[in-house]
Amino acid sequence: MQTSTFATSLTIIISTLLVMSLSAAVIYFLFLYQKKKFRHQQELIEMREAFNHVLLQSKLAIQEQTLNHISKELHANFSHLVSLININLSEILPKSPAGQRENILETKSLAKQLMSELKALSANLNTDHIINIGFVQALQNELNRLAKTGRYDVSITKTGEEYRMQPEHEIILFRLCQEVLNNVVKYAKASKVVSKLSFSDDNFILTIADNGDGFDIDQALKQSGEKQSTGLLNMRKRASLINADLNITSHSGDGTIVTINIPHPQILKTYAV
Amino acid sequence: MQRFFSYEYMYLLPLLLSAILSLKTFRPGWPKQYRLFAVLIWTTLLAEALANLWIHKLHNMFGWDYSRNNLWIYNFYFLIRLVLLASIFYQILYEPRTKKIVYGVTIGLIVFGLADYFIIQSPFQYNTYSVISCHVTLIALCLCYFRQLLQAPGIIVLHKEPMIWMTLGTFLYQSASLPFLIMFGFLNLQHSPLALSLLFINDIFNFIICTCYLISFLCKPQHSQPL
Repeated sequence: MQTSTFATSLTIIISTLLVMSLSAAVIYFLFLYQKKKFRHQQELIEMREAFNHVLLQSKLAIQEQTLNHISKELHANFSHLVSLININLSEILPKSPAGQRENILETKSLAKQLMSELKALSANLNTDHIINIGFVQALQNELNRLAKTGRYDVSITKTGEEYRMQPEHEIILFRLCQEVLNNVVKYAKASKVVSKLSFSDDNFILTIADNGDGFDIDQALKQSGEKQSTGLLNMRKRASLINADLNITSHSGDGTIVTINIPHPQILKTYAV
Repeated sequence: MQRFFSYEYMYLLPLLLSAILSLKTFRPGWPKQYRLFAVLIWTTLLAEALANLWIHKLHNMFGWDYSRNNLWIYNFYFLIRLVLLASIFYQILYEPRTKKIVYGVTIGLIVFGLADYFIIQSPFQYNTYSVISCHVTLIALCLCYFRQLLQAPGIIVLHKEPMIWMTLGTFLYQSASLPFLIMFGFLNLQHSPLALSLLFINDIFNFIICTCYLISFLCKPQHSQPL
């Protein structure tokens, strides 16, 4: 009797342990499989991000090439034509009756103005020129053009010791600023544009603020799909491409402040390593 | 009161804590299956309290003098537990065919369980037939849920999902205690002291399942991330 009791107890305990081990194995397999699935998902996300990054870089490269081409066309072809108009006007001027001279002089002045505008536009579109003069000067030129329109009170302040960023980063940053200023002109109904550039050992902070109508950022992002407007998304993508932190603060009626924070080029190099 | 500090009542602590934590599922925003799970916890706690009080006090209170046998409580509780767990699995399993099978099998088991309770084995005898069939059904449901997780296109962090812990606890308890429970009815009739001496196996798995339930209520529902 004693032996059979012991044997029964042992059988129950062993079978329980066996079934428990099998159950634990099933659970372990489940967790292991899910872990592998999770790792696979992470790899997919990384691959997708890398692909998007390359795609965006190619898009920007194509865009820069196009802008360069337009810039060269403006400089070589259009400027040449305007110069010819000016020369023709100069030739006509002495032969023309006194009553028309005033008009011809006015047209000559307009042609000169057109020439200088064309040159400025060509310079702004030309990547090599922007790399040559640097981001700060290029932005200053862009703001000067804005001020010349007479519709805006433009101010620019600079703090800290200025340094150059990587040329391709400067181009992307400049295009980003052009997008911001373009938005000010198109939508803001502002009268004042304030730009602050702050260079420090850790980062470069650029702030562009206007006193316009402002907008609801969340709503604008939601409506971007309906209106097929990609301005805000493009700005964010460009910022992420140069590891910049883009922050837009705006409320209806309160104007808009765009802040771009870029780590110092040395720090960015450390990241890359 | 002293007797409740014995190791065999240890599972009541995680059970009580999970019952308290389960109340949060009645706040707005929690899906139905979590509420059903909370009802299951409270039913378990009440059944355990009633069964233990029956042995020690209730069987001869108010002038009556019934048997101390509390198996009639547990036998009936197993049926309620099956209904609640099957409802939870009905909610969390997606496949319509599986849902239909769960529905049909559960109804069949309830009918059989009631017949076993009142006619075949009686309430005061351990209802081995219905308990074993309930255990096998619940193991199959747990495996169906695991299969669904493996085949799902999305992904969730397993150790943070309450339903995973609920299923793990249930699966471990139902499968590991099955050999003991198969023998328990027979041993209880043939060699009662041996059956009682092996009850520690059930106590251990009771503690494990209640701990899993407690962990599940410490987690928040996860949203599946698409691949």
